[in-house]
Amino acid sequence: MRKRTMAVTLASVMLGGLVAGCSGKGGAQDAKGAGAGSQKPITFTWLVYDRPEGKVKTDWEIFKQIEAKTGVKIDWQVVSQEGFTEKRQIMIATNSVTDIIQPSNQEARENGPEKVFLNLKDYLNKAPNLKKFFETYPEAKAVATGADGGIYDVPVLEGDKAGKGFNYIWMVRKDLMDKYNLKPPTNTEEFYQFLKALKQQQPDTFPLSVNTPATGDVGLYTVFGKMFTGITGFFNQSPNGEKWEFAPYNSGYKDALVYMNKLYSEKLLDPEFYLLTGAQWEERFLKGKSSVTVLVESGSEPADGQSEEGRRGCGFQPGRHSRVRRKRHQELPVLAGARRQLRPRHFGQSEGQGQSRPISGLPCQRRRHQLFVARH
Amino acid sequence: MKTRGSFGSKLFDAVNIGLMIVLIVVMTYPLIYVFSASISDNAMVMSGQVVLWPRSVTLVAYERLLSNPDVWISYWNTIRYTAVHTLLTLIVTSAMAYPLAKKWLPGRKTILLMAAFTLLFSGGMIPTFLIVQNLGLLNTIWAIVLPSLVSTWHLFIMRTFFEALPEELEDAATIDGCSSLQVLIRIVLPLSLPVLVSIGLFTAVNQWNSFFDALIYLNERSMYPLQIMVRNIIIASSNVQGEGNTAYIETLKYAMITIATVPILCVYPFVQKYFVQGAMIGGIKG
Repeated sequence: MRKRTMAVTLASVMLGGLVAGCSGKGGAQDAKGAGAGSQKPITFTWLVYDRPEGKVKTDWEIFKQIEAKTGVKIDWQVVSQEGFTEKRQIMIATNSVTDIIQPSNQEARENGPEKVFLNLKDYLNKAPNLKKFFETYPEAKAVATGADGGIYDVPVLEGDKAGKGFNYIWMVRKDLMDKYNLKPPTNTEEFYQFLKALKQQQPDTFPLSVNTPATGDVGLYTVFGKMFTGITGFFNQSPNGEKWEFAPYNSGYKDALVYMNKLYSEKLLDPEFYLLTGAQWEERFLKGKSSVTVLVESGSEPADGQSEEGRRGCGFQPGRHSRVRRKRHQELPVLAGARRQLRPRHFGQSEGQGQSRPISGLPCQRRRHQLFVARH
Repeated sequence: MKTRGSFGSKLFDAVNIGLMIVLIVVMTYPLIYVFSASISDNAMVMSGQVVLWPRSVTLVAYERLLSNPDVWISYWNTIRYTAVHTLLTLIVTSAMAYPLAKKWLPGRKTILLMAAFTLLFSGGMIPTFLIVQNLGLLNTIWAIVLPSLVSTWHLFIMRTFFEALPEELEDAATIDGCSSLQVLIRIVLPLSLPVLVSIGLFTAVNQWNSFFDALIYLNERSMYPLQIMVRNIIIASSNVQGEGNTAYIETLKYAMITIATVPILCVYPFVQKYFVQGAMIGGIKG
């Protein structure tokens, strides 16, 4: 009989609870197979990927801890990062998934009823933590529920109060800031002046260039729309209320468009921002054609690492404001904790027109290119 | 014979030579660049200062790769897969092509038609995967070797070649007491060296460069061929997320490419003469 897989999308917070769930299942199987009271170690397979800068090593402490705390051995099936999605899709399509795997919520919902994944609903009584999680966060239950009503994965809830967190950061060439004696901008007007100053110093450059789709999580419309309306994305909770709002209906959105148009027409924004490939974007910076950008935040430390919020990692912010979002990158569960939400930095609410609004960023030093975040 | 060419023919020569030089440059530049970049300093490569010759020569990328046991394991796997695959392909393809070259073979048309059918249609990835899985081949060398063992295209080239061999040779061998198998091994195959070498080379290069089968059929790192590693380093590292030391990552790519390419590059010159011959013969007679 084929072992069905427990599909989990893990947050570090959930690790203990989840693996407990697994061992419950394994225990049942074991009892059936080898007789009750057998201490034969159970082995589960788990699909993970190597990252190019460091491969998965089986002697990592967390793996030992999992084994020690649960009595379950994990057989790590390691694929390379860029092949991970393909491998997973094939595994799902051929029903040969590993015992534990991290699918997208959609994959879990669609393939769960096909018996690729285990219906967690049947096991919730054995996993009180998981049960509580689904009860506390109905939106988690919603994204994990398949067409037949079964629950097929444990989603990660990313987000924070009213979607006010940021998963992007502004970066700027610090050497240029020092050279031209520029102060980090704190609001949109200053940001405009900042770009303008850069442009004046280097007329043949486009100070702001981005390498993201125009819309989407960190798209330019999202970033600027949020600056002026406080609403993340096109449809989200308004910053000051319980209401869900369509961002373009917000009065600030026009300002955002006007502002973007101003940057665009003064060539402060790269005229090709819509078309740039990753390599072209990188070239812009390497050749000094651009100096300011906005990037997906993924590895930075939380500003308030010690606070309640920081310790909660990328999960489970209180109730009604939580946003459920698919993870952009499937992460190693071990690394999942590193993907913390940035501390919410409130944009000024959309008040009067013409008033400057603070822009946000977070101090964080990034890899190469001498790019540094503008510090406040 | 000495001929004084007309102006037209001199012009032709000049243009021809010029064109060839351009072609040579276009072909060799990337090779040289990759090699130069692999032994240059990372910062130089990143900032685009390496154009043709290496700058600030350092072997740190190679040190990093060669001290990584995974590279050697992958290397061994690739060599293993390539050698076994090529050998079996040649045996199986010639064993199938030889009878098909005989006009008197009953059902020859049907078999050829069925073979040709696979040129146009295939089962698709998932069904193939399911077959491989149900045969219990997953995570073994056979998952890599068996599904792509016979290429119909190569089969047809080889069959055409065999058909062109004079039948009298085989008759003579038969009269001297050879069985069919002996005729194939002692007479036909030695005479077919060009086609065998070129098909062997095609297969070997293909297998050397392939990653997809390995990606879907293999589950353990210790089984992965070199190309998986190359792909990981080249594609995934363009998107490194910032953890760890990435100060060598650009040169690492080029060093990896060099390491993965050099062996197969070395094979080419030695089989060049067969290669040209073999590739042509299939074409003309087909």
